[in-house]
Amino acid sequence: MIAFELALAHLRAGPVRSAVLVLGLALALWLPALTWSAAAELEAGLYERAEQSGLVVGVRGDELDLVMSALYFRGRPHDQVAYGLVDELRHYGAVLPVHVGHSANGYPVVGTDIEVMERRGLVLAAGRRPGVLGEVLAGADTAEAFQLAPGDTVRGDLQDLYDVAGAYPLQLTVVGVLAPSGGPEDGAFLADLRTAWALDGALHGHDPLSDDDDQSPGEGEVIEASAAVFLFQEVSERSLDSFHLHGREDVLPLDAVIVWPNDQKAHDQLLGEAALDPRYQAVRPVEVVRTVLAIVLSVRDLLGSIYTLVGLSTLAFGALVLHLTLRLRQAELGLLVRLGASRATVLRVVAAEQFLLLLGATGVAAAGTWAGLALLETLW
Amino acid sequence: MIRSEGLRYRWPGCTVTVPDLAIDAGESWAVHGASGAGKSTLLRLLSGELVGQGELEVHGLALHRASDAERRQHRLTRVGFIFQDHPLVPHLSAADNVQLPLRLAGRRDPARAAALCEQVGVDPAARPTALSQGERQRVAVARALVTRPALVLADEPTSGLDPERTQATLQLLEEHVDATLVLVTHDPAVLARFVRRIAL
Repeated sequence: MIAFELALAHLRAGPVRSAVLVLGLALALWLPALTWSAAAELEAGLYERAEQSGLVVGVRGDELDLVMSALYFRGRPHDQVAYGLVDELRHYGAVLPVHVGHSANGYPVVGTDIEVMERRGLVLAAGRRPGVLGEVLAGADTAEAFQLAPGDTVRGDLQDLYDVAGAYPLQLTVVGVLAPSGGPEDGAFLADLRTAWALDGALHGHDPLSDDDDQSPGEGEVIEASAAVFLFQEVSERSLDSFHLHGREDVLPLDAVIVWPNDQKAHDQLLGEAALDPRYQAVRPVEVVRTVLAIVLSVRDLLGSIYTLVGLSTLAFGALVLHLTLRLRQAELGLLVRLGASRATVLRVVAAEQFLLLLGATGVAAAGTWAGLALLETLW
Repeated sequence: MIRSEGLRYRWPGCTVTVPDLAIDAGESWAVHGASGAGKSTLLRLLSGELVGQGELEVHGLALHRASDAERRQHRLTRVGFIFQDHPLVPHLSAADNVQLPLRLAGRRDPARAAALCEQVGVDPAARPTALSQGERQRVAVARALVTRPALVLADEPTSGLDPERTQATLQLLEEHVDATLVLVTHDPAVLARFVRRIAL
């Protein structure tokens, strides 16, 4: 106990010196700790999501774009597949369509089946599931960012300001808020596919084109609709029935279809079919994630080597500082021996001081790592 | 209290030979001699810090046969040492410096340390850097007394002090030390106050 008391008294007597030592050590600990922690969290998060996601089917092209958009709602593949593909894939297993072409308040609006809640283990924290067009669920982080509650509205972000023929942003109604899940859904809005198509403009509602109840042209009759026709920008009791689709639903766009094959045979069959079908590809998200992580982890390992050198040089400086300190404190430590302290006690005083410095540095590094991870999470 | 026979200590290049000692409890002795004669060495032998040849018994402990642990314990609990130049631990307060021998022995008595500081006229909370030389000297005296030692060893306690401070220090020792006192000095004025002397 006397060793810690004397060590603490010495550290407190030189607060600036002690702070510099603690911060120097903390920096040497913080950099590798943050790098490794961030890489480990990224690895765990990506793998967990990928392992839970079966196969991802989408347009041929960049596999990473496909997986990132389908599983993590980041970006969008260069092209889309048709909704009709969903029915073709159903006999392989459970399917989940994904449409990620829009955002609201900067957060992705994910068009999908509401079955996604069971698939991803999502739970409502407030409100109810979407029931009609234009209704959305807000992820936990999204709701917190904008203080959203059931009944609030958000508007879809303009995708192209200069497309005069494009759909106007649609007002969306938040009918429920999801509990935090730790997944990408926390930072997104979930909606029915039809709401996503409404944001595309494929599904729209407008003022009647004629005074007749029957909007369809009669034989030989042509109804021309100009830009003067007012497109509804929100789904309300008045406008809901007017929303309609021109054309077939099976050609409407999807960014991806996630498939959970019934068994290994179905899994292998789907991969085989996709290899031959020019319309789409099927990828194992785990393999795509592994390729990405290989790059991330190799960067981490390179940084690790650099940090090792930094750590060694920090240790060397620390040893030099310790050596000089002991020389300066020779009289003081000698006094303890002359008063009757054993050399072991003197060593314990010195060791206690190094331990307290290291403890302080570890605490600062841990706090810095936690703060760094929190910051990376907001950026990611 | 202190008995020695044939006591000597070999330093590289010289040997300190101590006359046989017979000091009873409560007596005050002055050790004098030329520089390098071995005055400080004698005190270190009496405290158990050094082990010489010959026999030396202090307060019933045969130091020439005692283990390291026994000699350390002897220094911590039976001996109060006033070192030359009165070294203090700079990052401890005056009271903590006084209490240091108790803490090293695994005990604690902050009240006694504070009371001793006040007795010698020093602010218990003051740091050594804020104390004058005279005040540091008084803290060193208080530290030597905190364990209620049976033997007080003072190595040139008035070295470098003016006559007024020298008298004050001696008076302090006389007032507060009722144990056996062995004091090293080369100051004739200090020596004159001691009837019992050891010449080296």
